[in-house]
Amino acid sequence: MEKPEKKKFMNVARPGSLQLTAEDVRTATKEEKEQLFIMRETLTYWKDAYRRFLKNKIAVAALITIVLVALFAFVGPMLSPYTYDQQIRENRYSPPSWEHPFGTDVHGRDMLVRCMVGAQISLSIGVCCAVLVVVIGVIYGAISGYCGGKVDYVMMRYLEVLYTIPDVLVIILLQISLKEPLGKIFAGTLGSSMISIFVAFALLYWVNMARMVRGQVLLVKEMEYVSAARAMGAKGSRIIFRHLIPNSIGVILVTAMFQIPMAIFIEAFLSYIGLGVSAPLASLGSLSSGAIGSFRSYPHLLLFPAMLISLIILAFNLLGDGLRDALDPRLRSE
Amino acid sequence: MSLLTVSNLKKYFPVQGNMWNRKQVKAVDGIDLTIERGETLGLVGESGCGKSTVGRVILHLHEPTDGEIVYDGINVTSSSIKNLRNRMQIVFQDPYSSLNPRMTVGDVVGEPLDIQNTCQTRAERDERVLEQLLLVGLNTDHLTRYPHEFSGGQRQRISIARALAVKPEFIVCDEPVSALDVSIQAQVINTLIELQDRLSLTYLFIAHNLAVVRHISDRIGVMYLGKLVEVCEAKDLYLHPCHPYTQALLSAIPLPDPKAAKGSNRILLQGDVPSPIDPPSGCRFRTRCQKMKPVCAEEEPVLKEVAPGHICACHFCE
Repeated sequence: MEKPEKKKFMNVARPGSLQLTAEDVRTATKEEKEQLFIMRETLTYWKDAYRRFLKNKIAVAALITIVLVALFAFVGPMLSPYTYDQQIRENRYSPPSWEHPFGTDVHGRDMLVRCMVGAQISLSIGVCCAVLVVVIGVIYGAISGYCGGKVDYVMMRYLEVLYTIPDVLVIILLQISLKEPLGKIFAGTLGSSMISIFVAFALLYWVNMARMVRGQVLLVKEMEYVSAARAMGAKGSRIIFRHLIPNSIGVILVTAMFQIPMAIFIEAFLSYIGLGVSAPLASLGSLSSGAIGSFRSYPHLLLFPAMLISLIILAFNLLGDGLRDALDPRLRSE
Repeated sequence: MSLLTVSNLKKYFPVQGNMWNRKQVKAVDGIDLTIERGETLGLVGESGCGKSTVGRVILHLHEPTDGEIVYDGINVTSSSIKNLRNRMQIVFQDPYSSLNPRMTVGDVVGEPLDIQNTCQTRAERDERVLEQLLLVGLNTDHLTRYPHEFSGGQRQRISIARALAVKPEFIVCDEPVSALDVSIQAQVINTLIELQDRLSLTYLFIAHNLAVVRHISDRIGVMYLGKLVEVCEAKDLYLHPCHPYTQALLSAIPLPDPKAAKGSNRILLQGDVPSPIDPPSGCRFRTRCQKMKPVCAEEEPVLKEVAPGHICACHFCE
């Protein structure tokens, strides 16, 4: 609230004059007082997090990189004069040139457009797996943490059992067993390997997410606003969705962000050992593995997809770090 | 008929131990109390004596281990409490953890209305929310703001507004001012007293500050280690404390006048509060009591009337 003395100077009709009139020293009316009473602009959790995020130069750079890679992957193929399976016979193994910036491969296919498609597949796998992990992990973790006691005990032991299952083995087994039934349904669009990666993520990889969410829920559950909600007669589902999950959102987002590069990495790894997408479709992993044989003669075939994988994974990891610092300052590792 | 009658209320919490050797904290161990309509019952005692647990068990935020709670003729059980949720409410101690940081003040205060389906239309709900805020001295500007933008006292007012939203008759105030500084304490207390007059509320006021309790309470109960040791009229407690523990508590209040403070003989209690896992036999206070006699270890004193409206649990009270 402003003091009357200060107001006097603000209202002086003739600047420089020391003469005061009654008008200058009258007390402020209620409206005037209210005008002077300005509360700080409301700063929500998200605005605050956004500000902290923008201060982190590395994270912003990582976000820009991801956006650029996404544009490259999803818009790029439309602008390219070639398609990913178009073979240009006379241009086999051509080194990078103006016509083919990334060169061409053994069948004379343009590597630039193949890298775009590969990145597209890698990014899609990363995002889809993260979504699956979030949905399953958050619900499982929240229920386990909220119910506590015996329910929590059983759910956590089940989770530990899942944790011990070797993931690559499961993916390979799934891929072999799902090849037949899924090949018919998704013929031509998605390889059975992609589906099996999704299924494996849905089965196995939410473990970490569920643990993180449970930990956070155990913390938030003890807050008095949860007791207050119970005193109002709130049901479990309301408490979980209105109180527990919104207050765990930082942890959820950060964990999901680290899940994306992991999925991309696993896809690349599987493609590399020959279990990835089927030709002529390409993923960054299968492009790299295909280039290994002729690495000494044509290093550019390996260089570009390998660099793209590294770039994508690095950018997501840095973005995850930045998000963690912005959304959940307590988790900062220093 | 009294609004709330609690008889032989017990709440044990399991702690450590395995299947063969279960240990329990006896947070509340057999409490009887009655609260009349429109009065304020203060509940005092040191930290860990179970006073907050009493408040929470009455609202069934914890399931009682044993005992009976009768509210306005209705036996409070885990099923009947559902219909009583809009008649009993609670205000918590910590203004920083009692409001969800992700909800606006309007949503916080409106939440009980949403849960209880009190309002038919959105406009009606918004109007009622605003009404509650005005009642506790906040205004329209505050509706869309988040809890972290408020001071401790304001947050506590929001908590009170939330508790009042469903128009309850009975409110458990669980140390509502302990986390606030002294000048704000007075404001919040006065708000509570004013609201009690306007809305004819009944309070169970839990605190550890005797001065605050004296200001607001009609009657005061003193708790020690899960037991009620003395209940009487607020004025009576200060003039004629009967139980040795109450006497010690009262002598611990600092006197503002240094001359008077010099002359007063403070009773200094020896030792610590015994563990509530394994409380002493007989009278629980005997390990620290100056009047301790062999009978205290053998026989547990019961609450008996020493003067009209003044009950006390001590072998040496007349």
